[in-house]
Order: sequence, then structure tokens, then C-alpha cells
Amino acid sequence: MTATTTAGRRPLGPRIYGFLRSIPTWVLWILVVLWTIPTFGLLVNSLRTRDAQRTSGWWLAWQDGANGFDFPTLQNYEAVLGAEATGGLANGLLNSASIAIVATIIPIAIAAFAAYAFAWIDFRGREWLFIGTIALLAVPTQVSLIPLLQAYSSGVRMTIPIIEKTVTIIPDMGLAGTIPAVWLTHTGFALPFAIFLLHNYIAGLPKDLFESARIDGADHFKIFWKLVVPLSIPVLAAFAIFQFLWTWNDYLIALTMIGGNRVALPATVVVASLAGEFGLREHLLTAGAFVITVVPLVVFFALQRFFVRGITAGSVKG
Amino acid sequence: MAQSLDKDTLARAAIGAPGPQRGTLGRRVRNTFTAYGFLGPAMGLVLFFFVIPGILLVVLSLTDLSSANFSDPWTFIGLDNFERLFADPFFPKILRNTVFYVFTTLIFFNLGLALVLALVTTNIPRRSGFFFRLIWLLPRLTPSVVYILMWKRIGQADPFGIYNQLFPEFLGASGGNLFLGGSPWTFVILTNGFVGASFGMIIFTSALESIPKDLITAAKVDGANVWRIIRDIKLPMIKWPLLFIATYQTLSLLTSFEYILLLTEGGPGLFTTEVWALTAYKRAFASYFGNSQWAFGATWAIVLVTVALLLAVIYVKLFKFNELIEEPRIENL
Repeated sequence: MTATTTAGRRPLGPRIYGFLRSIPTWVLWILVVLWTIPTFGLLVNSLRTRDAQRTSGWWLAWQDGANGFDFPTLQNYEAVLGAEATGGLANGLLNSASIAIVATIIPIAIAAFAAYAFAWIDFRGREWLFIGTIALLAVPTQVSLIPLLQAYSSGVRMTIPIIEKTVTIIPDMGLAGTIPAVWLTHTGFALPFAIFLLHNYIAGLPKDLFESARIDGADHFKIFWKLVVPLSIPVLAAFAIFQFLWTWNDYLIALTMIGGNRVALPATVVVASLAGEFGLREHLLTAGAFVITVVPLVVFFALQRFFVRGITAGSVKG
Repeated sequence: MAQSLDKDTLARAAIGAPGPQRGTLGRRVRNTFTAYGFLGPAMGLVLFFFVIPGILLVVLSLTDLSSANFSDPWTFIGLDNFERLFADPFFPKILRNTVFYVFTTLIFFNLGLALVLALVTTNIPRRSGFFFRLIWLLPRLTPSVVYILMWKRIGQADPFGIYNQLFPEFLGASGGNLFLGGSPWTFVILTNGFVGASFGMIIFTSALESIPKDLITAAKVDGANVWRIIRDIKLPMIKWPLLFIATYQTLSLLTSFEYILLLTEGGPGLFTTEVWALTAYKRAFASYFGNSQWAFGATWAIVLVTVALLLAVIYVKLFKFNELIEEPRIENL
């Protein structure tokens, strides 16, 4: 890029200039191709039989027929989506959908109310509360993961040292190993970012709108529903996409919160577990990987304009 | 309530905007009630997910809770866990690993590569730039499980890994498993860096695109070359996003471990690629021999979080972030 414009001012022929100008574009295209090779490799391998996968790398798949293997074949996909014994991914996908959809809707609803209050209601303690909420963006999830799992699984009881009295801090909620535990955790962790993002957008809405609505006698609740929500659709959509992708792709929180309860595990954890178990089902890994990647890719490419616009609209000022 | 308010004051008071009169007492009380109604659910969840766990984490680090004893109620053992942590033979190694991992990834990828990508993609035709950024987002959209699987497959031992096939002598691989043998750090940093770069890229791009075109044109008329334009106009104009990304990504790198867990589990061998956050997680949840030392894991976590918060404070002071926060508030109200 540096070369192009400096070269442009030198007395070089227009053809050389044009060639130099296109170099960055070409470099980027080459990167795009390199970028997609591993994905392509996974796709090819997912269409090969177990024995073929164990014989050679995916780039030799074209020899499979000659070596007596079926290629391409859908048998890995059939197996991985089938019963628990072979993969159990169908159940995992249902769990993933349940986790991602609920864990997207709840935080949006809660954060939108909070963002509106921070942006347009004048009340005592607003600045401190807002700064406190934003500061939580810097607090890593590690803080909460261990205590939360304790709280979910057995509650928290402790003996106060001096008075020697046992108190129950958090009752046993019996949430460990359940999907609601994952909903709650995702919701809690998403809130600071959601409030931050929605607040930036909602605070930037034109002031006149609110003034005229107030003069017409609308209260905050009405303004929120009739004005703010419809006007904030772009940022709400952006956050929804972001949160859906995040919760669908999540591995760590689900693994920690659900753990050994196999029937409640989402697809990502199921696929990761295919790699273990002494490689018995490792040949299904690529097929499973493809199945769980399709959803986020479709969601993103269908809605990418919303995503990029909404994320960048509010978040960068100055 | 006052009867003689003109329309303007009424409107300003109603939406809580500061005006000549800040609204009557009754209105302010009512606003406060409405506000807490709106904020209630969010604040409740924040309390439950950040404040209470934060306190519990500190308390937990002073107990001996583990799956070996399931001590119920929690039994306090003072600062033993902290002594154990600092006396851990692998403590210096984990610390070195963490510093190396965070700053190498941050400088070369989350900031460096992100900036290069943003500068390049805003300098080529708009559509190609947009398309390219979209492609570069793919790793972030791919489930971590799948993304790491791809890298593992690239680095697999002969004859399966394509890397070994193409460059048998490079990176000290000579046919072995790259991420477990040849150069685990290269792989750990590349996997994290490629994903990390896309966040900065998006933020920098939108900041670069909002630089007024006249400025660039004027500089070009004055004879500035591309390098000068980047150094003297573009970089100063995106100062805030740069500092924001530096801060935010330091913290997220410091506390992230999911990819490392999936890629090397901190190996190969003893703690080769183990970072602090991973140690905290493994101690608490995934110790071998089925022994989860929740309290000891909490101790690692609490030290990490303390360091992270200290770093955040240092960054905020160093970069004078309060100026940035104050700016939009004035503009908005």
C-alpha cells in the first residue's frame, strides 16, 4: 500500500502503476484462500470413511476410490447425528438452541430497560451506578465461575469464625448440571457489555423526540416501548446476533456448569468429547464440527449488515 | 408541583436534562423510583453474578474446600492457600508464560495485525475491504471447539497434518506433531492472535472511516506520502480506539484460556504453555485424579483478578480514560 501511492507519483507507466495498486488486494485474496484451506480440509475429511481418514491426509482424498474407500460419503453425518452411542449430536443441537435462544432474549430485555434508565432518566446515583456497571467489563468471568458453581450445586454455608455460628449465604438451588444454570450464567455475564452497547446507542437518540413525547404526556414506560425500542432495532439486532453466536459457540461455561450431565450438554461440548474416549469416534469429529459451525455462519452472513453497523455505531466515539 | 413552568423547562425536567431548574422534588423522587424499577432486574443479576461471587471468591480462597473433603460449612484455614501458591515450584514458570503470552499476542496480533488489517482494508476498494474483514471474522464466529480442531489438524504429525506436508523442515517440526512437539507456543499465539486481531480490526476500521476525508486530501495536496499520512494523521486520530483496545485486550488475554485448554491443555510436558488463568481453572475444576481443589483454584483466580484490576487502573490513569468517558456524557445530555 505504501508502495502504490509513492510509486504513483514517480514517472512510471500507468500499467505498472495499476499493477502496484492492485497488490494489496491480491495479497488479501491470497490470504483469504489460505484462510479457507483448513475449513476445506475439514469438509473433505468429513466426507471420508474412518479408515480413509486414518490412512492419509485429506489432500489425498481423490485416491480414496482407488484404495477401495467410499468417497464422498455421508455416513459420518448419519452416525454423528444418530443415537447417543454413536454421537448424540441431535440432542446436543436441541440443547444448544435452547441455551442460545433463551440466553439471548433475557439479557436483551433486561439490558434495554437498564440502558434507557441510565441514558434518559435523571435519578440519584446514576453516574456511580453506570460507572460501576461499565467497570464490570474489566472483571473476568473467573471471579464468578468457581463461586457460582458452588452456589448452584450445593449452596453456600459457612461458619462465622468469631461467633461460631453457621449461616446459609446461598441456599441449595439444585441448578448444577441443568440448562437453566447456563441461561442464568450467560445472562449475568452478558449484562455489562449489553448495557454498555445499548446505552451508547440509546443515549445518542435525538433529544427532541423525548421532549415532544413528554409534552404529549407519555411516561417513561410508554416512551421506552413506543419510541426507544422501535428506534433501537439496529443495536438490539446487533447485540442479539453477537449474543446468539457467543452462547451457541460457548464451550467453557456449558462444560463447567453442566459437567457430567450428558443429556443436557450443548453441541459444542458433545463434539469436543468426540475427540476423547481413546479415539473411538474421532472420525466423526469433522462431521460434527461442520454441523455445529453451519448455524453461526448462516446467522452471521444472513444478518452481517446489522451486526457490523450496530456494533460500530455506538461503541466508538472520538 | 410548580404550575408556572414553561414548556421548555418542563420538557427538560421531564427527561432529566440539566436545565436552569433541575425539576421539582416530587418529579425527582418519582424519576428515581421509575429508574430503579427499570434498573432492578439488571442490578439484581449484577449483584448475583459479580458482587456476591466476588466476595465469595475472596472468602473461598481462605477455606480448604475441595472435592476431597466437601467441607460444609466452609472451614477457614487462613492464608495457607496463598502460601501454597507462592511456594508452588511452577509459580515462576506460569508467571513467565503468562507475561510472554499476553504481551506477545497483544503487540503482534491484537494491536499490530489489527491495525495493519484496518489500514489495508480501508485503503483498497470499499467492497473488497468489507468482504475481507468479513472473512477475517470467520475464526471468531466458528465455535472454539471447531476452530481449535482445525489448527490441531493443520499441525498433526505426518502424514495427516498439511503443515508438515508442505514445510517439513520449518518450525523444528520434522514430521512430528507441531502443537505438541515442535513449537507449541507458536500455535498457542497464532490461534489466539488470529481471533484477537478481528476485534481491533473492526473498531479501528470504523474509527479510520470516520476521519474527515478533507484532512487526508489536504495532506496529500501538501505532498505527504502514505507513510506520513498514517503516522501524522491516521494514528493520532484513532488514539482513543487504540488505547481502548490495548487495555481491553490486555485484560481479556490475561484471563482467557479456552483456546489453550482445547489446544494443549497447558502441555506438552509440565506447564509448557500453561498460563495463569488456565492454572486457576484446572486447579478448581479439572485436576487429574478427579480432585477438584475449589479453594486453591479460587486463590489463583483472586490473585489473577487483583492483578487484572490493578492493570486496568494503571491503564486508565496512564491513558487518561476519564477524559474519554466525560466527553460523550456532556454531548448526550
